[in-house]
Amino acid sequence: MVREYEHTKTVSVFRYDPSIRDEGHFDTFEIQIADKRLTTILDVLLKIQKEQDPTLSFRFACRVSMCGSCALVINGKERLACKTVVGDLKEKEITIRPLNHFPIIKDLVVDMDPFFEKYKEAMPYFDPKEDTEEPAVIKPDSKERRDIGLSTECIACGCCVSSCSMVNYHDAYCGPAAINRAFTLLADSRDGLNEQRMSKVLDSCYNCRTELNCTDVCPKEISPTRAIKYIQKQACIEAFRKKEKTPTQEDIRSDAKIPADVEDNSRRRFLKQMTYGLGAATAAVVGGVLASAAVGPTLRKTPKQWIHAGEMEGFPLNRVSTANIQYTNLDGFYKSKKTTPIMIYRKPDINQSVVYSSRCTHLGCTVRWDEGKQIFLCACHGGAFNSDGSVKDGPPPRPLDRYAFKIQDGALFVEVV
Amino acid sequence: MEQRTILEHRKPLQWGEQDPNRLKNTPVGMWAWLWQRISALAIIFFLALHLTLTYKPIIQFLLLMSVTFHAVLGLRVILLDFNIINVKYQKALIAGLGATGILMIAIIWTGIY
Amino acid sequence: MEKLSTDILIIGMGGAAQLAALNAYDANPDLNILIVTKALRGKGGCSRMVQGGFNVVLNQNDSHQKHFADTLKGGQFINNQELARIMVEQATPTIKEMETKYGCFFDRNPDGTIHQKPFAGQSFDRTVHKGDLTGIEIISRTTEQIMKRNIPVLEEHRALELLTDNTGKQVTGALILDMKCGEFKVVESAATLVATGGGPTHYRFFAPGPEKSLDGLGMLYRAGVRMVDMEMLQFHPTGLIVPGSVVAGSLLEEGLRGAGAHLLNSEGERYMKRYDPEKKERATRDVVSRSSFLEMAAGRGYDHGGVHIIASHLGPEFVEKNFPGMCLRCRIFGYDLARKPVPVSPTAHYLMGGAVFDANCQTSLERLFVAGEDSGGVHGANRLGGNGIADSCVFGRLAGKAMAEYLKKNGDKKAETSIGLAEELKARYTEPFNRKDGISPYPLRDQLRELNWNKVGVARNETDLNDGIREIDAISDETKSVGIDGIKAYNLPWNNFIDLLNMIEVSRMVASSALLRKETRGAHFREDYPDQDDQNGLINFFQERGKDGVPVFEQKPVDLKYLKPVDVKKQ
Repeated sequence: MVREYEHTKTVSVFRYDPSIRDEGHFDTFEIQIADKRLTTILDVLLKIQKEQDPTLSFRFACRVSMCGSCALVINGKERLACKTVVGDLKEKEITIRPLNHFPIIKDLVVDMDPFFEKYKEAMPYFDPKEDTEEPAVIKPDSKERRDIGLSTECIACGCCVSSCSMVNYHDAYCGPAAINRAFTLLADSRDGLNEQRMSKVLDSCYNCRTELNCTDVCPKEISPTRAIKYIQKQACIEAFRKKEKTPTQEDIRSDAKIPADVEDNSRRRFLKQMTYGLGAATAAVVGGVLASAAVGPTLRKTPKQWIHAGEMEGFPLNRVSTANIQYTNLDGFYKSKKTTPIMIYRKPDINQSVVYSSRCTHLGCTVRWDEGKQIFLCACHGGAFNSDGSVKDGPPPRPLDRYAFKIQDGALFVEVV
Repeated sequence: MEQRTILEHRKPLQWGEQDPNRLKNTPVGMWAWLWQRISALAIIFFLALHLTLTYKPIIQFLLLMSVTFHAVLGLRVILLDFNIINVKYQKALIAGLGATGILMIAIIWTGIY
Repeated sequence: MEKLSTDILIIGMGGAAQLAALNAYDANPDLNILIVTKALRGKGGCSRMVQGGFNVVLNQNDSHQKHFADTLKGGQFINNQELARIMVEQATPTIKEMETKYGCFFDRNPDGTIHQKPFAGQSFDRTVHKGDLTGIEIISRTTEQIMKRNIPVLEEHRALELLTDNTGKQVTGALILDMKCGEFKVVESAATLVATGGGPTHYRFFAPGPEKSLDGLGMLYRAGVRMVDMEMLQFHPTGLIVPGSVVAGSLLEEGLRGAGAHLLNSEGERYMKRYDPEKKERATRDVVSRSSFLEMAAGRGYDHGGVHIIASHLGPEFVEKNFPGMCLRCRIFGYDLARKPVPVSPTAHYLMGGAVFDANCQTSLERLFVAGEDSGGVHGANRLGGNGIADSCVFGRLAGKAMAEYLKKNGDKKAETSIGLAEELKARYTEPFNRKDGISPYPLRDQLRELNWNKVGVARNETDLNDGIREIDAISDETKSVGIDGIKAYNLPWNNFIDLLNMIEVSRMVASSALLRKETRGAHFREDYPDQDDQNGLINFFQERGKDGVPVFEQKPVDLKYLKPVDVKKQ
């Protein structure tokens, strides 16, 4: 019966028994689902728990995606079990697995302590800038509130940390959720711990590889990546602020619990100097290269030199023959010994003879003489030149280059630059 | 003495471990990052080939492709880092830059070669 | 058994518990405070699930007197007026502290001042909110403050019983179960706060999270704490209907009706016009729930057993902008709140009744404090929307200060736990593991839910209530043959069994108290006494566990200290 088939689902659930201490395995259950649109994964788990295997453990609390207790990897993506309905999943089967990067207590239940430890590193708590009793007057369309938006609605479910492929490679990385919270506080004008918090999370931010996995999985549609980029940008802006404010007496907080970070100023100065330094270096390099390319050729001091290419007897009449010339080339600071093939087409009249460069005028490959076809051929892109050096075929833009030459004492000399 | 069963947490599952569905659910941003790293390796490889086996069109093409993709994916990170393009458009950005890359390859290959 | 010792033990980690911890710490940072929560930190409790908001007087044109009168009118004058006054007056500094000390940021008016929205039963728009997810803002921020102060939290440790000394008059701590590994712990404390929240999940439809199970009230009752007005159990009129899902009963908050949404029966009639021609859907929760229930009982409900709420005439953009959380939740199940009718039903929501307490949050037992939904008396016969989180936060805050003050005076002399008590209790809780082929706790729980819904539900009568009590006792007897398999670590059926014990305890209290009140008042609707009797009805019903386990009942007229019903009628 088709109907019944539609309503049966195969569910694989990760199992781990802490008293056996094995690697864990998947158990498969067949369950009946009345309506795919109205059945959440949490319902599926509760159903398995109730009807098939009472020893199955999983965590849940509010069932309306407000507490973030039931985050699981469902069909290869981090999701909240209470927010995902079976109809949302494209795959035929359902695979349920605990979150990555957290120790597993039992079955689908993970130990969230590492999450909160990392979370705490980002100083994710408000500390009022000034002691006041009246709530601050802040317009809802002010820049800070528009920046913060709904990012404060994080429910600390751990989906982002599980989806991030960087968190477990970098011990110092406090993870997307923590940085997101730090961002909402950094952007909040009421908060007084900006300096310390910035210096704590900035390092973490550079562990982000802009994979945007966290943004992709967040069940509250918050983008921790945006938060990370915001903090990096903020750090740059602050580093460039013209007048560095020296902390006044009021700015130095006497809260013994949160020691003022002494590194902070030096870090900022370092960042600033580095930015200036790197900027200058890049400008110098780029500028240097461009300048030398533009004016370099006119400044070339390399003297022209006549190089011995061989005895004239070695070059038969009315034929193209090849010879190698050796000379010392001075190109900029770089002195090199060069061996270059040249091609000599000897005619009876010495003045009609030609010495060609073997460099193809297209991209500089070496051309060879094809005796049968009576043409010069370039192997790279199929360029062909006639025996007078003009382009016969292919991409070369101009005829073959020629060398000036002279004959002295029956020997051929070519002029190189 | 009461009897106690010794319980132990399993070490954390790693990203993608025992996860048959992960591959097809890997988001596009992750691929962008991964391909930039792969293209970097490809550049080193093809550059070496290019220097030893000079002027083989196939190697030239592969080198051109690796360089272009590495460049556009690097541009993506720069654009996102400096918040020139909002993070929420990242998927469109990858598509756009990918298309630009292909276009550039086509222009260079047909026009200059 | 592991033994822990602390100055202040706080059971629960919702709004009341967290504010108590923060205020006790701020009053004296040297105190050892221990928080024990059944869920992960900050994730349990109903405060987090608050959608609507926090009623508080902030506007110059509003006054504490008005808020007080509204609260009493809503509660049909059986509130404890002293406590209601404290709540109303202390709500203002509490919300200001949340903004200035804990970093909450509530929605603002265009001019930058705090926005307050209309809620049912209020003479002034005074509900402070953050979109329709106010609870997340409050609880996330206070959880961070707990983290900042390094107050230790035992996560996934559920309190099973309060421990007392030999006389049974002093609370010495609590027996705790570490759910993660299934081990018991004894926590001894100089002062104990029970702030687990109520959470009437013993009904077919319920609004609180399914992990809530009235633990606190069960615990308090068994320890011998005096309870008040347990028949007063609020049904919220608009619980989402999702057939077959655990999400069924979750709330579409009151702001929606406040903004002007309509309720329709299966004939398409806006039936609230008939029941309350003046306020219609904006009537208080008791009235709307009762009306919906009567419509459903008269056969004018839809196939799924509910009525429809419709908000499309407010404009889809308006609904989506103002109630994003609700729209999203509806969308998950294929309902379109902004454009189409959504099926809803009354859903068990809040227990106005609870432990008797005074202005210092102290209960009838020594060294025992209570705050939040576990306490009773503030809201009388019906709680106004937005007064719930106000109650939790205000009294949590006061409890924290009061405990610090109490320990200043009585901190040095700790009471001794009655010897062998913890072992005895432990044996009772591990008993089901000894029955290898016992029955499952789930059918019993479902049975209890149906029974409460049908017999002790929105509409009650003497016959049903008597039946109900008998059936509750029958279920209670059956729990003695429940058997649990598997290891103790993270054993859900076992925890469900413990939940069930607490639910039974509270079900019995609600039913027997409901039998006593022979009139209709607020949330308590008696079909056989359909009228409110202001001559004889202005009384509170108290009950406590007698020596042999039989409840002892008492009734007392309400102390109409500040405001009498006639004063309000005159206005």
